[in-house]
Amino acid sequence: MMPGGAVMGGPSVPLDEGWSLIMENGFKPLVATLDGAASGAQTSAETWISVHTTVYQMCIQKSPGPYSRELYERVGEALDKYLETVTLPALRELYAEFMLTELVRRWENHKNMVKWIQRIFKYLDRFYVRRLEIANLETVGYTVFLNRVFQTVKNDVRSAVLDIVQRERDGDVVDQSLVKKVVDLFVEMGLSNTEVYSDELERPLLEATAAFYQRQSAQWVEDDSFPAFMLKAEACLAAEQARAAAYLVPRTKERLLRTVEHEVLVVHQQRMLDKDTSGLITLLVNDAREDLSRLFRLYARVADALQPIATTLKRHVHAEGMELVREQKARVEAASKTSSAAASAAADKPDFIQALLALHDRYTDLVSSCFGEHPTFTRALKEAFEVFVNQQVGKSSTAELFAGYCDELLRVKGAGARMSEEDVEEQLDKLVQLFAYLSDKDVFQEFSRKQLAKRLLMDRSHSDDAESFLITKLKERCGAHFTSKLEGMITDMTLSKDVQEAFQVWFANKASNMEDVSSPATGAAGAAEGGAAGAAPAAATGAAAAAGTPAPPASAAVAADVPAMAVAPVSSSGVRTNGLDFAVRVLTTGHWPTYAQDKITLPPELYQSEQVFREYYNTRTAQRVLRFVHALGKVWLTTTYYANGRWGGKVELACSTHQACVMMLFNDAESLTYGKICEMLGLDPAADVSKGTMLSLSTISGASGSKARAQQSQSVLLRAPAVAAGGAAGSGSSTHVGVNDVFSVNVKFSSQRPKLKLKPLHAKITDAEKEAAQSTVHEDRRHAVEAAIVRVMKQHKRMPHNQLVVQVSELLMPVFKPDPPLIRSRIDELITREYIKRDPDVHVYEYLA
Amino acid sequence: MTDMAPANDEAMPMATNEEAPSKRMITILSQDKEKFVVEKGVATMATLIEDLLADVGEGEDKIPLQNVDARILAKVIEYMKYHFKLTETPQPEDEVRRWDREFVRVDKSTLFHLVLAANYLNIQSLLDLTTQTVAELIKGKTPEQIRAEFGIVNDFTPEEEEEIKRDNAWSEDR
Repeated sequence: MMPGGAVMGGPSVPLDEGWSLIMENGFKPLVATLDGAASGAQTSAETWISVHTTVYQMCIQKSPGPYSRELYERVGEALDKYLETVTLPALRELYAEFMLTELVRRWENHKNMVKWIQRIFKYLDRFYVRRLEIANLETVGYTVFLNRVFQTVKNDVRSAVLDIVQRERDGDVVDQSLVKKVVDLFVEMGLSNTEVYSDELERPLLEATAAFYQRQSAQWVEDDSFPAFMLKAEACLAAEQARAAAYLVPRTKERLLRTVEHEVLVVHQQRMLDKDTSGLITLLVNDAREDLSRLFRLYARVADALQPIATTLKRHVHAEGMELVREQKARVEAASKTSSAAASAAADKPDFIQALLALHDRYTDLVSSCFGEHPTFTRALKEAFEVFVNQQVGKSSTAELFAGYCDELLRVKGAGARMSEEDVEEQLDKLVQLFAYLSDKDVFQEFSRKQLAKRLLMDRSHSDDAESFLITKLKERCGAHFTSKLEGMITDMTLSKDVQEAFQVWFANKASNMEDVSSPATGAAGAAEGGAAGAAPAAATGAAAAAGTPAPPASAAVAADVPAMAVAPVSSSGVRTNGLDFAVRVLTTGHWPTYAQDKITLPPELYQSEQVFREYYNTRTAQRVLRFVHALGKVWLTTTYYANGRWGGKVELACSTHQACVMMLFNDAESLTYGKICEMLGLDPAADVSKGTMLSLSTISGASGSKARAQQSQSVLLRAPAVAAGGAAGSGSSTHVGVNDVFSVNVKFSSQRPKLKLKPLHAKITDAEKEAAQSTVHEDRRHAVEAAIVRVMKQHKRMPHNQLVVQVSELLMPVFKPDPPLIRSRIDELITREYIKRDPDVHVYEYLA
Repeated sequence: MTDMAPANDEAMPMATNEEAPSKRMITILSQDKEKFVVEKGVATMATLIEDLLADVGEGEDKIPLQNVDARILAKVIEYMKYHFKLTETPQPEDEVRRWDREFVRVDKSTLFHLVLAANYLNIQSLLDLTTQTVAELIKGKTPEQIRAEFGIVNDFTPEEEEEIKRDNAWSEDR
């Protein structure tokens, strides 16, 4: 609002008179001050008021009319005229930095002038400018400078700036604050939009930068090794960053760095990575951590630049891994020339797995310490490892070897037994990490289950903690379903202890409550013992076994049907039944590997113990069937032997149930044919286990040689191979047992030690067991594939073949990698069984509810 | 009428060194050469004075105003002081509004001169307050009443007046 009549205003002011007063008393003294001509002669308050009031008066007076428009125009003109006649000529005389310095000074002055104008002519801004919605005085002032000065000199200014930047890149010390002021001028000339700066300075600067680094880096590529190249790249990025911080606007900093990164890093990346004597492979081989870290730091800045590095890393790790596989194959092959047993021994050696672990260690450490554990690299490692970890080496798959190494770590007398608990856990942890790359996880699962079973049943595990550590790690990695059986086995072992204790209590009660029942039992046991004792002297020849005192028999049992159980014996805390300490382990069928039902006629002493346990067990549950697995049993027998012309001390023999059964036959006979032995025990003479048992107990009689003689004194039995008609080959061989071979008590048997362990049961997995495991795995896979197909089809009802294969594969991936033929055969099977049907036209399967 | 400030200033408890810059005293001369000495902070409530101080030399602390006489200037300074003090010790809004209403309870001539002074000195809040007060005088009055109120001579012909009334019929708020 503009109040009308100058109620208190001064006299009205004619235009020219007013204007010249403003110029003379205001503008000119100001210019003089700014130009430095009039020193210190500042405007007085009175003059200021009079100039201001003149403007005010000229804007509000009604007559000779308000001169707002005229003042507004004349202010712009006056500024423009000053710039044209004073500023421009001054600039034209100067070059380079001098020109920039003058320009900066003139621009500062101009801004001060504009500020003064804004104050003196404020009434214009307050009403005239606002009412007409036109450019305010500040904009007018800047625009005048832009059009009159900046547009005229900008090209010279730009080249002067670029020249300074170039000189600084070349190593000169330059006036950064001057450049900063000129850069600010370019920004201000945009009047709040950035076009002027972008077009007139930023783009040319970026172009010059690109050209400069193009030349530089082309030279470096020729002259320098990769590490030296990276040092230079890092240095120039740091320099550009500092430069940007010193005098460029923040936005340009990013663009400048992107430009340098592109010209230096991206353009030459592949060439430098592949450089012969100093490329990435060389750095990896030399484990040049510092260079590798620098490599990552540099290329992590650039989008997508890590991939080529990861690809090379992957290729390299893959090559190293394949080399390990090749070495292992060569070892197995070389060994297999000797014998297949040697081959499998070579294959089972932990060297290969340890080498894989070491490789994995080295590269995971590298990726975490040099490559910031960036997903691109962890993925590359994973992909590389997945290839060679899943290579078949000789007869064994890597999954088997993994399981074997686990066993090695956990088994008594294995490598792990000599390590500290921490080392074992560390190794297991690493193994499980590596295990993640394995596609045949189910093979590993099957093998490690068998091995765990052996360790548990034979007390060959050296650390319960390490066992559960492995299970925990596997569970973390593969889920609870993967370890449920292993956990079940551990649980069975724990429960077995409880069962055994309860059994002891039960038996004690039974014994005291039912004297009449227990007495005969004890009597029988006594008889057994007595018999044994008697037999020995009778045999006079010495050996013979008797179910001896601390020596319980054993054997285990097992159920056939669903809630089934198996039992294995334990020596400690055995229950003393009929003179024998007796212990049983109850195993849940399903958790444990399937054990063959082996029939053997137990000696009465053992049979009674077994019956007692059955009786007890039936009191616990009626739902479960107990089936003894004798093959897993252990027996301790004591005997006395004859040596050096007199009866030697007692010796305690630790042996298998089978061995015990055979030996106990010799309580009543001096010699027996193999055929007779098998008949008495109900064994199949052709079975490996029968022959093996016999071989483990005997040596061929009359064998010569000191070695054979030495063996002879350690064997309980002697074997006289039958003289077959025509002298059939092999009957005298050390590994063949014929039905007519005669076994007799070895009178020369003696022992240096009070306890003797007969040739042990197979602690490691045999080839036969390996095959069994493989076939178990294949069987399981068929079921798993079928289940997966049904699951997918049930959910989707209809699905084309390819999609089905993909989905089924995805479902099974965590456990194993199914091959398409397997899936196809299972689909066919399910079609036959009418779970699904095939729509012949569209190659789509349909789910049949 | 002169020097109304010092008494008030002495009553103010704080006079530390930090306050010194804002304690710089400015002498404002009315058009009729009457002196008013006020704190710089009070003086610069008027943007005109703030602008002036930015341009003139350090020692310049006598400001010879034009266009405002002592009677009105005294009134304006009263306003500036009150509102400057509010920046240091704020008062409830109601209280400020009450003070402002009381401040413009003046005769019409004084009110108009306050409008002009506020405009010249560029004190936006005072300009708003005074023009708002004038608007309230006009509000709800017929043209005849307004002419009577402000002593304005009707210089329209009856025809012109009729036309204007027709054109602005929409604004009749009945």
